[in-house]
Amino acid sequence: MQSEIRQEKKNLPLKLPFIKIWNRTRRALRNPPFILSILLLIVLIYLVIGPLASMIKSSFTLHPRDALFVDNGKAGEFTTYYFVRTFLGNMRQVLFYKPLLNTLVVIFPMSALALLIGGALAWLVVRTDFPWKRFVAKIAIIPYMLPSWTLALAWITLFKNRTLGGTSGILEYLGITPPTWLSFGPLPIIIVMALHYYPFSFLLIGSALRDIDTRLEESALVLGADTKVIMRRIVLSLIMPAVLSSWILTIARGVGSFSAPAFLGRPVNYQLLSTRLYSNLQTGSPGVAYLLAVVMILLAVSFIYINQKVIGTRKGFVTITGKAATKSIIKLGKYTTLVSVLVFAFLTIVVFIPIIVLAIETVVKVPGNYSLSNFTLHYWLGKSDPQILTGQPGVFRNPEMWRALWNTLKLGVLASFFCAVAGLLIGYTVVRLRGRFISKILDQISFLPYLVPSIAFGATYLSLFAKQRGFIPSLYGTFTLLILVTTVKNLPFATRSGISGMMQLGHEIEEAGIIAGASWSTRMRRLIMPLQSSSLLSGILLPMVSAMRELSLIIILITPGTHLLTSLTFKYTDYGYYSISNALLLINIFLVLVLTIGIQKITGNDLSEGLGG
Amino acid sequence: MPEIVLKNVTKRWGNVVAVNDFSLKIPDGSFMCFLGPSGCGKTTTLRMIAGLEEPTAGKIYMDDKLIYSSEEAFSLRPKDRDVGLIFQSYALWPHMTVFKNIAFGLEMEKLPGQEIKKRVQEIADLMAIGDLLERYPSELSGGQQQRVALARSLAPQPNCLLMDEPLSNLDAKLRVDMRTELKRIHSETKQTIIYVTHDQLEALSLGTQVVIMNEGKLQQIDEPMEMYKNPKNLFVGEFVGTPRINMVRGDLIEQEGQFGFKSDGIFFPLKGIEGLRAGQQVVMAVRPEDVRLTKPGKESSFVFTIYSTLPAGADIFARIYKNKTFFTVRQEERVIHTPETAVGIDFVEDSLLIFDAQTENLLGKTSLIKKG
Ligand SMILES: Nc1ncnc2c1ncn2[C@@H]1O[C@H](COP(=O)(O)OP(=O)(O)OP(=O)(O)O)[C@@H](O)[C@H]1O
Ligand SMILES: [Mg+2]
Repeated sequence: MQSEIRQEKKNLPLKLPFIKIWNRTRRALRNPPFILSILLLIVLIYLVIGPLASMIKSSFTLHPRDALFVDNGKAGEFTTYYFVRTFLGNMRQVLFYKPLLNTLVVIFPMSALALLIGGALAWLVVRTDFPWKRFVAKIAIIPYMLPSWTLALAWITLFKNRTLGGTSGILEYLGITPPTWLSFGPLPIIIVMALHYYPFSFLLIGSALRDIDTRLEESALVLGADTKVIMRRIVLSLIMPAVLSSWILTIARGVGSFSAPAFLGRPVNYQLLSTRLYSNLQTGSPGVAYLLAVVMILLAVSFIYINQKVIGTRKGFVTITGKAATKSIIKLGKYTTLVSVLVFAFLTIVVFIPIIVLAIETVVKVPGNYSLSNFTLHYWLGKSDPQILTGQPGVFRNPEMWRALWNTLKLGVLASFFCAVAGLLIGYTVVRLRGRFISKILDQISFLPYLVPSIAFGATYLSLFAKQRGFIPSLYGTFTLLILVTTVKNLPFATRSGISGMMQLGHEIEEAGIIAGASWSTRMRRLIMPLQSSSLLSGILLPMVSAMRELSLIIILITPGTHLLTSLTFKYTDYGYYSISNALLLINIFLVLVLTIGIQKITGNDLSEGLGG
Repeated sequence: MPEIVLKNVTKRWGNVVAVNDFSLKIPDGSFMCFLGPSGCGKTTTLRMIAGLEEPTAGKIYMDDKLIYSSEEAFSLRPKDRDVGLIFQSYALWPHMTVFKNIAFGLEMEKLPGQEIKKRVQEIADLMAIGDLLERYPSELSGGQQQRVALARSLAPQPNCLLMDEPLSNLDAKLRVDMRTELKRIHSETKQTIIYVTHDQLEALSLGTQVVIMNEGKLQQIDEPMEMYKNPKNLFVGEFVGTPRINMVRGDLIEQEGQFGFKSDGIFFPLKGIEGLRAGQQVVMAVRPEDVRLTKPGKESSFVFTIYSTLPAGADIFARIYKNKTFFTVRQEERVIHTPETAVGIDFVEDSLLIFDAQTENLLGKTSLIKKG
């Protein structure tokens, strides 16, 4: 029976090792996921690790311009000059310690405020009988989709006082002179950033609240606990990880935020690490700037590391999963009206008023005069007039605006497309090669950009691509570089959605294709891609929105030829041409909102999905 | 038509040994059922034959051709092995119609469109899904999906068809229908079929040969009836057959000059056969249908008591006991005894299986020596 299993053909023992190596190699070369993973790994190492390494190296390499200041200094050699200058020298207070302190002073209250607002709204929308839940859930995340300095500009328009010269704000016009600490500096930065970042807590805490297993609450209810006790003892402790995560993540992002501090801090010389980094690049001290970037990265990484240690789970991401179950809902009762009024007042102040204020500013001829006779459409449609803003034409007649608009659109579409495709490919290889070392490495590296604060990430790209390296040309000043940096920065989101998409798909769908004799490219083209297309599309939304409203990431990589709406806005604000920068900002907001709504309609996916029932 | 041979195949993941030194010959044209409890390595073996998983050690031949060898690091690609595989989940492509699903493999063979149409229609008619061709998998019932999966793997006419628990998602009635269908397809196409299941009834009724596995090891390979009648070890005896085989642990002894089996104070005088000797610790096992209920005292010296009676449609099973020893009996008479009724028992000739208590291997089959 089984004993009659045939005699195998004998191999010549000497040839065996050779045959083995030959077969191994041949099969490795025929294994597309493996080859793909190697290629992806090379590209990712170049685009994620490379810039970091290059930046650290640059900060310890003497720049030709500084060679004169250093004894025996030769350009291109190892130096501690920048290190000493930044952390130990007599400029250290201005260059490092003051900005570090200011950064800490800003991000802690900022993140606490963001958490408070986001958490309260989430609780209201998920756990109470608040009547306007759905609507509020949709509106509440708008601030995150707006460029982060929308509020900053609106703030300036409202509160700018006369002491700083130039035009003053609406309050001044109304006869109230706001104190300078209200116009500029830490307070407005904290408020404006918190109002930009709170949707993050809103989404995270909201989905945690929604996904709580109701049986846990019900069992407490059965044991005789009342609603208040349940909320405090059970719900709060269950959502604590989400609360902590969103707090830490807000801090980590706050560290790398450039725009609000730039608009509201720099005019009174209140510098944060991010703005210091920027001005050091402007004044030609990249060495110092790079060191500041390193500090920012370390700061963000250590916060996230602490978070993971405390929470014990990896990567506190916005998970939009789970099914809604009936929760014990708090009845607002007689407070309904009061709460409604407060919420709507808040949303009005945060979402609508800024836009209206900005819009008003664009239609007054002489800044600071808000009477009807001063109404004009010049800043939108007017021809160049030497009397007004040194001859700036209205934005619609400004070829720079059209170029920036086109660039913004191009960047959003291309970067998010590349991001989604890269996310799909990485997700594919990570899931296919699961259990192998290379899969783990790909997974980790693609997550790394998440930990790097935006402006620091931009700095790493500047240092890597400022000059030609090997066969890769200097990309500084090219649009390609903007696409590259935006794609890689947004990769963590895309990879996560790629991985979960592939996990859901399972491996048998592809294996059925293998058995049918389909080649790898056929399998990708006809089986995997079509089935992942919906997750591909929905994975596009987030990168697209963030690409089109991003300033911190790209500000130091922008050159006059590659302006985006965001950077152009910043440029005009720097000139003090607020009417024009506000108009540009409004165009930018319009673009983002239209695209977001459009994509949500097409893909049927929604950023605030499931919150508010 | 191939014969498939596995030689010392082992599959390990870290320190999990899914398949352990597995050697097997699957004759050409057979309907081979892999049977075993969950996690015993059935799926893994199937996937190794298909080329989706790579053995840690061993060789696989298809006909005379080597298709896998660990020592040469040689592995023939799945598409060159010419096998069809039906997944437990069916893995139908949800974005393709039934037609496209079935046609896919034919397209890969670069057949002309006309030919593909003809073949798909033929196979679909054979499977009685000819009028569902324009539907999507999500619009089909479980049984229909199963038939589409079958049609999809049959269409390219593979040498060998591998099926992984293809009926486990279906309801009981549909399962019986599909078994008949599968048996018919096998007798028509004469393909070698390897069929994985953990349902012993399915294995016994479908297979021309049954392979029983446990913890990655081959336990026994035999024709279904042989497997049932002559289990090589206790595991096989226990795994095959419902209700479970009766097992009593005890000793072979000689008592008053009579050889027999003693357990729980009950002595069963046995016919001595080769391989059995007094002093051995053994397990005696007997199938429920091989136990007869008799009138107590008169025809049998054993007095057992009815514990409960379980009518199961065509059969009536009784649980009886004496001291702490229980037997399940398939009654011959259609009567329902009240509990605590006294009954005698007898065993069918040559129906007592004696296993070694340590090795659990079958020592022999013997009979009760009747009194007088
Ligand atoms: N990819 C894998 N990695 C690690 N262990 C695995 C993997 N696949 C299977 N195993 C383990 O190998 C053993 C055999 O698995 P296999 O899927 O072959 O069982 P099975 O007999 O098909 O079981 P079932 O009847 O439940 O389908 C199990 O212990 C399983 O946990
Ligand atoms: Mg299985």
